[in-house]
Amino acid sequence: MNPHPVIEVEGLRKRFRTRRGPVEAVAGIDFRVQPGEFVGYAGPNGAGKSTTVKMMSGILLPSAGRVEVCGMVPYRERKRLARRMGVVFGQRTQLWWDLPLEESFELVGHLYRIPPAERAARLARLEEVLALGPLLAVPVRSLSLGQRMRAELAAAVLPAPEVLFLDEPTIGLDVEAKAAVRDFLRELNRDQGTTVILTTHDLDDITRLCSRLMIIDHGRLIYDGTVEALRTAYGTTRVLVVDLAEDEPVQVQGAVLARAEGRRRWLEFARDEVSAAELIARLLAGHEVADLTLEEPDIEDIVRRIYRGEAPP
Amino acid sequence: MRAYLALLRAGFQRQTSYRLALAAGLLTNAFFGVVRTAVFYALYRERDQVAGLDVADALTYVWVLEGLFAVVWAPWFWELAEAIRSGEFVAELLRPGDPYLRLLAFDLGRTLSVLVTRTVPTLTVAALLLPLRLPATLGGLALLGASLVLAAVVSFQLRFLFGSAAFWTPDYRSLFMLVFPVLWLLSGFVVPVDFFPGPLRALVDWSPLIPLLMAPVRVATGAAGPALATQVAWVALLWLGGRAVLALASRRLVVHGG
Amino acid sequence: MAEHAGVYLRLAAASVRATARRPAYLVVRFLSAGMIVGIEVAGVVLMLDRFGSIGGWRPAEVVVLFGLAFTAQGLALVFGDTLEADKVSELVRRGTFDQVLTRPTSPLGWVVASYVDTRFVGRMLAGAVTVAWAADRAGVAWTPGRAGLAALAVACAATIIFGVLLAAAGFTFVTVQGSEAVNVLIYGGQYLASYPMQIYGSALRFVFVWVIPIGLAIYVPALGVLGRQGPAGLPGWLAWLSAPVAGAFAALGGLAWRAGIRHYVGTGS
Repeated sequence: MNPHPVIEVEGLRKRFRTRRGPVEAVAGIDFRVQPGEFVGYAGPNGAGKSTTVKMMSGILLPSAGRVEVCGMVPYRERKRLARRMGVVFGQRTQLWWDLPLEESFELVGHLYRIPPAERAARLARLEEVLALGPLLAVPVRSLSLGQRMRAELAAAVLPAPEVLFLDEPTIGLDVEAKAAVRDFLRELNRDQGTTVILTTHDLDDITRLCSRLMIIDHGRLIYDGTVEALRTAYGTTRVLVVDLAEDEPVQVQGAVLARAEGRRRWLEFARDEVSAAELIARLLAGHEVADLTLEEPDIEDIVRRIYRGEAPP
Repeated sequence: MRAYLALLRAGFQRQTSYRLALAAGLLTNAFFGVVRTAVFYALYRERDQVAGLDVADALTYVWVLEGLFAVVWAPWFWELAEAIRSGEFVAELLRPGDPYLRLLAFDLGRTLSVLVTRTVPTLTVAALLLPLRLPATLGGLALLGASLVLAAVVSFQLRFLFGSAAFWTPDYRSLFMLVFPVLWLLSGFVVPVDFFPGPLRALVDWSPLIPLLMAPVRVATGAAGPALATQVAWVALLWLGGRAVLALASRRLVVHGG
Repeated sequence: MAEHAGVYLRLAAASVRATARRPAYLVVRFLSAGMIVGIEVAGVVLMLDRFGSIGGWRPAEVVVLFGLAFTAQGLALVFGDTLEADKVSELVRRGTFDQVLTRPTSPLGWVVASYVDTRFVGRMLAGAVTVAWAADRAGVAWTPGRAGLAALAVACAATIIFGVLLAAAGFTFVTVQGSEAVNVLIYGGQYLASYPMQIYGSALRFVFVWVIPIGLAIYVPALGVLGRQGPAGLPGWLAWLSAPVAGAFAALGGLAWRAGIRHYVGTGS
């Protein structure tokens, strides 16, 4: 296996001069991404997400610090890196707007010097996975947003990039189209080992896809770890949902009744005061229970609290 | 009346806010003016008068042309047609008051801004540096001013007619692209119409293209009366034409729903 | 660049195919671009015929200059129209240029090839027809040398105009807001080069022969085509200088473009 990280970022900074004085969009961040990781990159608007991605893809020069992607300095080896990197900006197209979709794939094949046989083979697989067959003869401008996003992804991965940067790939898509995009990305990461950096507002994307989450705010990384660890660190309360055998009042030491509906009760408890096992034992001691589930804290809720500046307990 | 004046002012302010475009425009006018001036000086080196124009007439033509360029070929030429295609214009028809007058007021506001910021400075500087033939009396200058404003009105009226082609065809741009070069020549923006062969010149003199450029040139160089009369007559005729087109268009909108 | 030529040809072909999806519109734009040349030439012929000559040149000889200048400008704009200020600032504002930078190609090659404007082929052809027609009226006996000079004039002037467009585009990356001031050089330069240089004052002549050498590129080779003597200070052999001068000018434009991109990558949009 490749012992080197795919992405190495060290002390990375980007300052912009604006009319209202200098602004530090990225204020010194460090991280490494190993081959095959699926990283979610989140943060409120203007936090420095897209500035970071632009520096990693060679569109923007860092003010200070070091960035290396696939062992290359992006802005210095822009063209060479471009061959090993895929980019999808959700709101913009990299396809040929007025031409039938298949011509875009053909052009991408030539641009990235993919041997024709290889291109045909990869395209055949992508067509199947992304259900592109019926769209090939359609001009890109006539595709629906969901169809177009599938096509964008196919074009971006056709050169078999080692790293894929995605910026809001599910924005504006309906549930079905979102699911198709997510399934594809999950398989791509699992089967091809493609490293994916996913910038998104949609935390659902992150919880469903990413093994790792980075949160940036005011130009600094304020979280870098697994989604689970975030829940543990920030999600202080968990909820035990209980379906009682009979409709009766419930009182358990260490938990607060948050909601009641028919025979269902929502019991909130702090994870560091009482363990779920202990709580369930106490509950079963006094009540007959038909069913119970443990609800982890809502990640979206947690991230919102982080943005608001609420520190972990 | 107040509403129309407010529109006039809004148009004026809108156009005046494009500072960078104004500077680029003045530079362009100055450059072309200088080249054309050099051309006419060279042409008149061995001749005093050609087709009734002497070198002072020709230079006056050059600088009136540069001054009026952005008035006649207004950069916002397509706004009306685009508003018609996008359906925005329907709302304009439904509002109380006179839509033709409203459009004229706003457009005239913009062209007046161009007259003040481009035409007048261009002509003034040229007149200080070159032997132009401009009216020497205040009354004469007032007539020239009136003629420039009338040129702006006619330019709106013609733009309105071209723009309203969009009521009938989505290919209004294609239509205009083929007509534009011809209008360009016949209105005198390539060379003064005085140099056209007799029959063509007679034909053009009776067309609504004369008020755009040649009439103000003639007002400046001396033949104020007939030139102004031509402009006024065309404003009236085009007014009727514009209203007729608007009536037809409204009926079409009502019948076909746009 | 050479190894990529195939790629850029494909990109250009794709952009032509895209416009050809509306053939009627393409034909109209093509015709209109040609008509503008015809109309301008017609007007000038009407005027010059009234006077008989300008700066010692007969009308037909002047029209040869018009034709050469239009051909060169059309050629430059087929590839360079997309470098005009408003179009570059549009590319930047829409984020299209960011995407261009993530492609494994030269940004200039990409932009030029992807936005080839076939309508200016109409202007080019009309210019070439004008040259042929006016040269015939001027009694030019075509020889391979003279045809070569005409081609040289067109190629060099087009290269210079393209260099101006490149420099302007580089500048637009810095200002973001496009300024149309450069059109003075593109359209004004063509207009100026359409008349014999001796009619201009020494300042104007100096600028357009030596600084923005479009006058040099059109006028001096045209002297050879028409078999005329140039004024003092512009000997006929200068025609052969216009190729390196044009190349150097375009190279300067290229440097300005690169500086513009460096600025863009340094600051973002």
